[in-house]
Amino acid sequence: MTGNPNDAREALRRLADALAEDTLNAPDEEVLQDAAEIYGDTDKLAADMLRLFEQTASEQGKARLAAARAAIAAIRRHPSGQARLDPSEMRRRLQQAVAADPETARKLTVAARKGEGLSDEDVYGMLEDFEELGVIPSSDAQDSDK
Amino acid sequence: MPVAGPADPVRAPSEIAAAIRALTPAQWARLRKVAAHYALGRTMEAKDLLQEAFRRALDGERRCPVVVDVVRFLAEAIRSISDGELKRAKRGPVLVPLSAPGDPATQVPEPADPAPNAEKLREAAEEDAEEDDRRQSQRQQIIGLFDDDPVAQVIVEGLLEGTRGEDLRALTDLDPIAYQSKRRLIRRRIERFLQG
Repeated sequence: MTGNPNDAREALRRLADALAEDTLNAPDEEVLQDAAEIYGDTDKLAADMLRLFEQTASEQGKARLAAARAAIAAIRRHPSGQARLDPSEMRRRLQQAVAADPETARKLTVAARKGEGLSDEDVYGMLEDFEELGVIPSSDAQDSDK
Repeated sequence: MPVAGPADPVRAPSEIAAAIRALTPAQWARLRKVAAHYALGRTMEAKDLLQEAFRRALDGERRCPVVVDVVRFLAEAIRSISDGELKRAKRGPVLVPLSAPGDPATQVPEPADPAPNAEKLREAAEEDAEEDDRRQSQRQQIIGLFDDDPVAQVIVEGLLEGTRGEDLRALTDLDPIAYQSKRRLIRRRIERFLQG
């Protein structure tokens, strides 16, 4: 008997691999016959296993539903900040962002720096980018400061 | 087990669920037996391994290529879970308090020093030693199941050492049919022991 515990763990793993491969390759008739000896009625075994699967699926479905409800509730509590702003307020914030970070601002066109020729969607997108980059605080944070 | 390429189309979780619901009694029996095999030397029981494999298949954590049989896919998931279970058990979960997005920053307690203290190290070492003893004992029990059958014992010891295929059969002097019959006897005896 070897004294190395890793040997025992690896040895049992090798044995499990061999048994599993034999079981996966064995003909149905043999598998059913052997299973009947160990577990009894194989139809009942199949029914029990299916029940275990359905139980797992049901628990997972409930967990997914709960997560979806929580996500919706979170969105209701914290709706997207930029979407609530009116266009002039968005443009004011963009100007602030450009002023606050000249390094980033240099990468924008002159028109973009002034907010000219940009659609509301463009401004909204740029503000989101600035928020993600941490150049400006999120609208939620700004609102809560007021 | 067959190896699928990364570009192979995969089954959606709903398709996996449908395939599982359509399994025959022989396929269910295979899965049950494979789960029992991979519970060998592990702290997770066969049913827990099965349930975790179902969960991972359903939530898409494990992807099942359409070219791979669902029973083999689940068997591989069970194998992987039994592997990871040991590693996770040793690491233990790291819980970090998180505030909801947009919530004002809350006072977060100073996280515990991740370096284990002497007491924890001692406890972990004791647990490891117990687990190791249990595995050593299980290995010896399995070999002992074949004290009345020296040929079967040679095969079992060979499997534990990692000898496979023709090399293993050659050790026994059995013809292929007798060898397969002996392998089946070994499987049945070990499965009865595991069910015990």
